[in-house]
Parts: sequence; C-alpha cells; structure tokens
Amino acid sequence: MKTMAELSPGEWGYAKEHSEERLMQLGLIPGTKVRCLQKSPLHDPVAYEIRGSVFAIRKINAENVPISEDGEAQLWD
Amino acid sequence: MGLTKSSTGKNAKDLFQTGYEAKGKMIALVGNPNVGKSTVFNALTGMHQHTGNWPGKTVTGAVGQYTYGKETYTIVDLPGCYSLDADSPEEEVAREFISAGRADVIVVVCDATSLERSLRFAMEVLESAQNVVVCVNVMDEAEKKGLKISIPKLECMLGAPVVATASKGKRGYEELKKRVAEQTDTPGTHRAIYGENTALRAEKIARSVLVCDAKQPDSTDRKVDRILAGKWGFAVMGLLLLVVFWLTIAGADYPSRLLRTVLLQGEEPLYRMLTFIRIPESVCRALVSGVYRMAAEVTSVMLPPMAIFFPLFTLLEDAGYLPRVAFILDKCFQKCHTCGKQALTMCMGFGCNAAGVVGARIIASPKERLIAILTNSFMPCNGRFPTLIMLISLFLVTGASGIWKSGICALILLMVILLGVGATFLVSKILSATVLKGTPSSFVLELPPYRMPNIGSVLVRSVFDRTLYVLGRAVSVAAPAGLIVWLTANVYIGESSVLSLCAAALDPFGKALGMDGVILVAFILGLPANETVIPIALMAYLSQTALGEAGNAEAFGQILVQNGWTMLTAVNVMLFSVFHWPCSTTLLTVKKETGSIRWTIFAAVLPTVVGILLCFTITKVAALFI
Repeated sequence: MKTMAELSPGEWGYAKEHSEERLMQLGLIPGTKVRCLQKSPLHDPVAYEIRGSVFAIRKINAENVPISEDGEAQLWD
Repeated sequence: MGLTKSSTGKNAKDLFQTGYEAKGKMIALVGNPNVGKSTVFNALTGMHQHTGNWPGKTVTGAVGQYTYGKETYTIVDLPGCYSLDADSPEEEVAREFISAGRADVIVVVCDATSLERSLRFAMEVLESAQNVVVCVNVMDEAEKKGLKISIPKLECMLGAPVVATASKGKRGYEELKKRVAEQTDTPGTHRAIYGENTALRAEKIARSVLVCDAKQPDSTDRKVDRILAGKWGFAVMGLLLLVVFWLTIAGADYPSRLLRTVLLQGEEPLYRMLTFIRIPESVCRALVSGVYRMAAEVTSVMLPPMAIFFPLFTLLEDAGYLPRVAFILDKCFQKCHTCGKQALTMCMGFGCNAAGVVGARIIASPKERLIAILTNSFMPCNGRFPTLIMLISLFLVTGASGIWKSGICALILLMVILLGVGATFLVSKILSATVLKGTPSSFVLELPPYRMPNIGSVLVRSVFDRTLYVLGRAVSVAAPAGLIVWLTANVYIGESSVLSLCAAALDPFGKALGMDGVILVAFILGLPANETVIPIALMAYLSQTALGEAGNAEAFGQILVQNGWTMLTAVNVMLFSVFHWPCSTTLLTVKKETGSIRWTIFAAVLPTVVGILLCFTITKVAALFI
C-alpha cells in the first residue's frame, strides 16, 4: 500500500485510517488531502501541505500514514 | 529568541506556579502556534512582548492588563497549541488553563490565512469552555492573498461572537474589547456541541465562510523555500550566518574603539569630581579604576556588536527563517536520537543560553528536552560573541586589513560556531546512547508563511528589549566584579596581592590548558556574566604590572602579549569560552526547568569537561611542534 512517505514533491493523495496521533491533532484525519511539497537537503524530513498549512514531517512518521489516490468519495460518504 | 527581562533567570515569571494575582476579570488568549496571539496581546495591553515568526515562541505565557469602560482586565498570553489533547509541556499549560476554568473569558485567536485549521482548535475550545470570543487575526494578510471571510456568517455557524482583527492600523481591537466585556457580563454561556468530527465540521465552515478563495495563496513561499531549505539549504544557511557575522564584525570595530576611548577619558574627570567631594582617595581609586573602568570596558566591548547582531538576527527570526533551520538540520538530530526542534533552542541560545533553556519546552519528549537543555551552552551566547570576535581579530587575523580582515574574522567565527554545533551533535548522541536512552519521538514542525518583518519595530525592539537589557545585566555584574578585582589586586597578604596569589595557585592548571592562572580566575569571576571574562583578565594583568597608571592603555592586544599571550593562548581561551560552565543565570534557569540540582551540576560539568579535554589536547599537540 502506498504511504505518505512515498509521495514525490508535487504529488498528493488522501490519508487513510492511521495511528499517528500527533498528525491527527494537526488535522490529518482520514480523508484529508495531503500534498508533498519538498524534501529537506538530506531528504528527511519532508514538507507536506495539510489543510492549508505546511508541516515538516519525519519519514518514520509519514511511513505510518497510508494514502489513497482518490479521496473525495471517502470524505463525503 | 524570546529574550526579555521577564523570561529568563530568577525573574522568569511562571504565572502558573506562582499564582499570579489577577486584577479584575481574567482573560486568556489561546490559539494555534504562530497565529499572532502575542500581537493581539500587545495591541490590547500596550506592552511589548516580543513577537517572532515561529511556532513555540511564547513558552512561558505573558501577563498584562488593560482597562475598558470602568473594568480592569488581566490578560494572559498562553503558549500556542494545535489541539487540546496536550502533547508538549507548553501545550499542557494552555490546556490546563482552559479546562480549569481559570479565565472569565477565553479569546481564541485564529489565523485568517489558515482559517480551517484555526477553526478546528476554536471549536475544540468552544466545546470545552464557556464565554469564548473568537478573534480572526491577520485579516490584512488574508486580504492581500485574496481571501475574504464573511464574519457574520462565521459567527452564526460557530454560535459564538467573532471579531476580525489586523495589526495594521490596529483594526478591530476596540471591538474585541467590547465583545470581551459583553461576555464577562453574561456569565455561563452554553458550551457548543458540534456533534460530528470537529475537523470535518471546521472544513465545512471554512469552505462556506470563505467568500473568495485564492488559487494558490502561497506559491511565492514555496519558491523561497526551495532556495532556503532545498538542495542548497546548508550552503545558504552558512552564507547567511557568514553575512550576519561579517556585518557584525565589520560594523562594530570602529564604534567599539571610539566608545572605549571616550568612556576611558571619563576616568580623569570622574576621579577629580570624587576627590572634590572629599571622598577618601583609596575609595576613589577603587571606584574609578575598579567599578567604572570595568563597566566602561564591558560596554565598549559589548554594545556595538550586540546592537548590530541582535537586529540582524531578529530580522531572520521575524521573517520566518528559524523553522527552516530546524527543517534542514532535523536529519542530523534524528541521527543523534533527538528532536529537530533542538535547532530552535540552539538559535535562541545564540541570544542567551537562559532563553534557550526555557525555550526547550517546545520539545515534547522529556528525554530530548533534557538533552537540549544540557547542550545549549555549546552555542556561544551574545555575552561570549564579543570575546570571540576580539580574540580572533587580535591574534588570528594579523596580516589582513579592512574588508578582508573582517571577512576572515567572520569565517573563523563561523568555524567556531560550527565546532559548537558539532559538539552539540556529538554530545547529544553520546547522551542519548548512555544516560538518556530512549526511542526518538515523533517530530512535526510547522513551517509558517514568510512574513515581511517590520524593520522599524525590529530595530526598536531588538535594541531596547534585547541589547540594552543584556548590556544592563552585564554592566550590573561587571561593576561589582571590577570592585572585587581591584580589591583583590590591592589587598596584600605579605608580599603579594590576593589576586596574584589566586592566579599563582591556578597557574599550573591554567598552563596545562594552554592558558594561565589569571585567565582561569577571570573565567571563575565571570560566572555571573560571560561578557566580563576578558575585561577581568585585562584588569588583573594591569593591576599586576602597572598599578593604576593604565588609563591610556591603547590596545588590548599589547597588554595581553606583554603577559605572555600567543596565538595558541588565544585559541585555547576561545575554545574554553565556548566550552565551559554556563553563566549563573543559565544555571538558575536549568535548575528551574529541570527541578533537579543533579542535572544543574551536570549542565555545568559537561561543557567544562569538553573544554578541558579540548584545550589540554591542543596544548599537548602544539607542544610537539613548538
């Protein structure tokens, strides 16, 4: 399954059910659109856009967030 | 850097522990990090709490007052948090304050440019507290980005009063005061119940109140980020630091010398004045050659570099560069099993290590926070900067002149700083592998939008809040230290003065470290303020050689060379200045933050051991070649 960590800069997806509490508090609940913006010079952490804000997130945390490419259905059902 | 009178040392007001006496109604300011709570706080109270552009700047909470109508309001600026499910110590402070019902009215500050996320927090607060006013801040910037927000609609959907504010033109603050006053008069409004998931609900509300949505509100920020925090992040960071150092060194040189000449010329008239009002000669000597001269030396050495460095650094801070530093460096911290936010505490340490130690509260894991506290003094604070700059330009860059000289000085200074950074990494790694074992905690850091700093306020604030404060503290320590040095140099036991006895006792140890006894005495006497180390050493040398008749001493360098200083001595003093016990203010802060004498002692011993090892090794190695 594709995870948030596998997004390349410019790509986006929709978060699925995950257990990263800290990210949940920031609004990354299932169905949220997440866009990969850019990598840091040493490729970790990576900057993501979540609900209009930019967050630096470490790979080990991003790996725990599965991503689907079509999120709208999940969000509004 | 969060450095103000009230945020460091024994003055650090922890209103949550000391039970701050509230006058009148109690208002709490809460909200996500970096939404401009401190700006609103300043606008309401007329105070000058420093506002920086990075999440976690306010870790202690400021208290102020204002009057509206006949009522007095006490307002508390709480640390920002993302959610009421507390995570780090500073977030817990805010949560406890809200849930304990200690405020009569809670003002939730929202960022108009990222409304949805702010709303989610606002709704959490609305669900768990009564008498809430929602303040949508940074309206001016949102409008610049083409975002329009329908306030009446938002008010209706949230079921709570909403006020739009902007720092430009002080928009909306009067209305905010009015709304707060109304809330205090209507006790016990109902808590809101939004039923469904707040995140989804916030999303829906945000979508329906945003009248006009900009297509890409932050495309410029992304371009800037690609330069500052992309592939070339390290190079740009080094270059920025180099430029800041170079401007500081080049700009401070002449004013420093001028200031010293002018201030030392004041000795003669002062002495005559004191004798004129019939103060005994020995007391006059003590006051002029001791107290006054030391204060003058410290002022001339410190004031110019600080007056340049602080504003430059504040510019970078206000623009929003510091979180990018943490973003770039985080991988290194990860390797050391520590938190990337340690980079932020290190940046604060540049200004003042005590502020850096307090700032470590932004780190959630207690273990990682302790590492950040213990290693903070590896970043030379502003008290040590002038020492480093002076020694570099006197002993290490002798050939060059003009722009080259200051450029090379800046480069060497950068290397010294990098050495400090390297030591931080190494020691952090060792600590996390031995005494402070644990798995790395999760690291999430917001990269806020860049903001154009307000140059005028940066200048005013960094000069008044930081420069003059630090200088004042240094001088107030330097003056009595000057007296002590003068006394020890002039009180004789048998043939020699107390000072030379002490220096002689420490001399063998000092020599082993490539320094001498006088320097070690200076470092010890400099405990209350690192700024005073070189002036103390200088006075000690002067009092040993030409007693009292040194008012016209031209250059520091000559005196030091006459007392046996070489380039090697200078290098060792520089290293020991970076790696030795933190100043007493920092140690007191460590004690307060860790609540443990043991860790405080450790915080003093750790850098000292590193310093002793470094100086000893360098001296031994150098001895092989000379």
